[in-house]
Amino acid sequence: MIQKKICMVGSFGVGKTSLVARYVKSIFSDKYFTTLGVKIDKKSLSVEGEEVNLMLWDLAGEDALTQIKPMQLRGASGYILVSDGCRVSTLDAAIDLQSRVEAELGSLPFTCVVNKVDLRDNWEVDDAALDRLRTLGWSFLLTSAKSGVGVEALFQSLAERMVREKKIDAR
Amino acid sequence: MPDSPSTDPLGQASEASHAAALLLYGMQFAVFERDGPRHFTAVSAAPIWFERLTEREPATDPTALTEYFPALEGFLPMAEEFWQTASTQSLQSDFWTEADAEGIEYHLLAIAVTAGPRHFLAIERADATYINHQQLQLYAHEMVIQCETITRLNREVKRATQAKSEFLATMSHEIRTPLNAILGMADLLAESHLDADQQKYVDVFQRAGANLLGLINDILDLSKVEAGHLELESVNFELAEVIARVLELTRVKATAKALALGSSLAEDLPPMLIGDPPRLRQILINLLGNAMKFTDAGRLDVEVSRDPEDEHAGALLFRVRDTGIGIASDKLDVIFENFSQADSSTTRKYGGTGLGLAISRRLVELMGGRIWVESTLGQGSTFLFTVKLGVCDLPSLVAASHEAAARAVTTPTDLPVVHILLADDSEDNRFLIREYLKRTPCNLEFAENGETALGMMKFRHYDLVLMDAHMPVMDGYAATCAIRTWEQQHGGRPVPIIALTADAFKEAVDQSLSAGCDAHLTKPIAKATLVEAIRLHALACDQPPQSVPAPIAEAESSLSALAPRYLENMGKQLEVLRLAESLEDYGTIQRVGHNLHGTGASFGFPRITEFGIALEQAAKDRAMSKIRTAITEFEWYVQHLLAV
Ligand SMILES: Nc1nc2c(ncn2[C@@H]2O[C@H](COP(=O)(O)OP(=O)(O)OP(=O)(O)O)[C@@H](O)[C@H]2O)c(=O)[nH]1
Ligand SMILES: [Mg+2]
Repeated sequence: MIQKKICMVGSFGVGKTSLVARYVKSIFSDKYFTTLGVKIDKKSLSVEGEEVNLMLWDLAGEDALTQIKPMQLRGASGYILVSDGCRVSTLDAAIDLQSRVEAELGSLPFTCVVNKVDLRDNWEVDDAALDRLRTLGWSFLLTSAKSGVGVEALFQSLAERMVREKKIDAR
Repeated sequence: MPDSPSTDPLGQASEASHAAALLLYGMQFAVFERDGPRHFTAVSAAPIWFERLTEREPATDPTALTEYFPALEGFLPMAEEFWQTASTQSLQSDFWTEADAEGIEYHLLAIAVTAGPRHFLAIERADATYINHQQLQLYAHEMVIQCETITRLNREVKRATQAKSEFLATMSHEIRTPLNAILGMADLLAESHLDADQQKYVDVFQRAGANLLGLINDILDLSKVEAGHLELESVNFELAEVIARVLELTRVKATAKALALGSSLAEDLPPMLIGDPPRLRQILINLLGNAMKFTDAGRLDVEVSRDPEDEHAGALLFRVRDTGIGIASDKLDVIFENFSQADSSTTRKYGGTGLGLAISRRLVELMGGRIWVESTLGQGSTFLFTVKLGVCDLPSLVAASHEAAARAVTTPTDLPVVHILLADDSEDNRFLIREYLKRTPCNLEFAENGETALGMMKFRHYDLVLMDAHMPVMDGYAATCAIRTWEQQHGGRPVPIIALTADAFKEAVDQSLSAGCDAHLTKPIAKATLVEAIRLHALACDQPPQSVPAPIAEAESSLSALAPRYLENMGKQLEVLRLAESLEDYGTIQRVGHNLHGTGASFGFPRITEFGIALEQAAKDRAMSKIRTAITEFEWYVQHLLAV
């Protein structure tokens, strides 16, 4: 059995905890309980017939005073950069954060997520902003922890990339 | 969370068990002694909550603890370092959250402690602290989100205002351009020989046009202030002069209504101030105009004193007092809002847009003051406003400004012979300016766009260029830049260029000046303004005024350009004729006939002149059947032409 650590990172309030809760427990709550420190959830899935045990590290969101702790990133095989489509500042923050995470972990598979797609009518993130992600060459997904859109695909595809990357390394 | 507890539970000499007992108080702690790298042994019996968490899953190596609590991976490397160096008394981890088999959450903290040679690790269940911190953090986050939302809304409002002001600027252009033609024509008509009736019509025409222009200017002003486009000037001026000018402008109307007009300035006012005199004048004229509208008998007074509530020498209080109908007390607050007169029925009776007071309020606020009104119904109102102005120590400038005013009065005849190029795509404007300059020694040539103008410039010397800003193919700004570049390359003396725009915004003025224009005129342009501008800028060509016979205007060709509009007007003439026919109003029929007689051929329709002659004659003879035939033929002819 393979064990893989994935870190959920991004600004506060973007839905990191909610995405994990949707994926692991199929639940969603409208109420906001900001995360302090870290909470780890486990979920196993199968990639190419092999069972993979994901350790999802849901980290406290960044704000003006709280920066991500490099120590908590250690040992990760991939990460998810979460932003909130209703607040374009969180996408800028995600782009900035990515370079810091990469400096710490090296180049690892990651997926950028623009969350709360159920509220797309109120989004501040527009097509131009999404084009920017394309020019960065990032793989990104539009998700909703509320409706579940894109959540399954998010973890499944990242897990597949992490396993594939590992196999290439092994060769 | 304090990094070092105020009481040291593990005094240096104390026994491990003693320390454990203290830590275990309330069973919040599970305490371990580190007896090797990643090897922890429980010091005492574990609390219940700890057991509920460890029984979730069996561990292959329970002594490492990280199988139970993977989050410790993020802390133990730092704890190891701490135990090796022990620079502080204790080291605390970040929070982490665990859930037991039933989903109950536990918020935990790890604390590394050193007691002499021994190392301990305590895991604390810190739910209460967590929830306190979480609550604080939530407030902080919500505040940031609120702040972001407000910033975003602000931006959207700004954008909307911007759009509105751009819309108004465009509209003002669209409205001012035809209004320019209309008012210009009215001025020309007024100069021609008119009978009493015609004079009356032209009067109405000019007055209505001027009102319309006033309304557009008001709307523009207001939108400029609201869009933050309005910048106040800071120039030296004399207050007495401003008041005198205002009274001068108001006197004619006041006299017509038999109202007395007076002013008083307190003795202790600084004679010279720094501010924006045209805007100050505008406020006073608005207030006086308003007072005049609502006052049928008695007097109007302007009083100025130091603002009793402000020490600063430049803080002034203005009072505009009338003996008019007054304002009901419940309306006192709303009258400074946009489009709000105290009563919408007053708009009908007394006229006005209701924008004057709104503009005044904005201007007063820009000048750092406030405006309000005191009134007794039936006895009159007093409008009061304060402003904060700068105070200047320079001597009086009145003489100089009088001189300038005297210079401004000129007559068309003292223009020198100048070759003028007019670039304007609007046929009406070309016609209008040609007519304006008909009786002057100016030679006028035309270009329909900037590119043509540029081409003509290269082949012929002009003393002056009148350049419309908005033209197809190449606009006036681009053409001016191109002309300036060409002049530099060919060492030519720069020709004076006067920009013409219908756009009254300061940006438009700036834009034309930075393109290289020497001056800027805003349409509608009065004949006197144009002549004065030409005189001023053509002086640069150093030619003595000559009296040269005015070139004969080619009325036919210039008027025929207006043929389509003339034909449209024929529709209205027909209606008038039909009505006059049914009323057997021979006078009107004769007048219309006379008009057709006089104009048809000039606009390129000799046939219309013929109808005119026939109608005129038939009306004189009171020959109704001939009139009917002529009208029917005329109608057919006009419809035929319009259908083409
Ligand atoms: N409509 C909608 N709301 C969402 C979605 N995801 C999260 N939310 C809401 O957004 C708020 C924040 O969600 P969390 O999951 O706590 O966000 P977080 O990124 O974990 O925040 P921190 O722990 O403070 O960094 C909560 O009120 C959620 O209900 C979504 O997809 N759609
Ligand atoms: Mg969270």
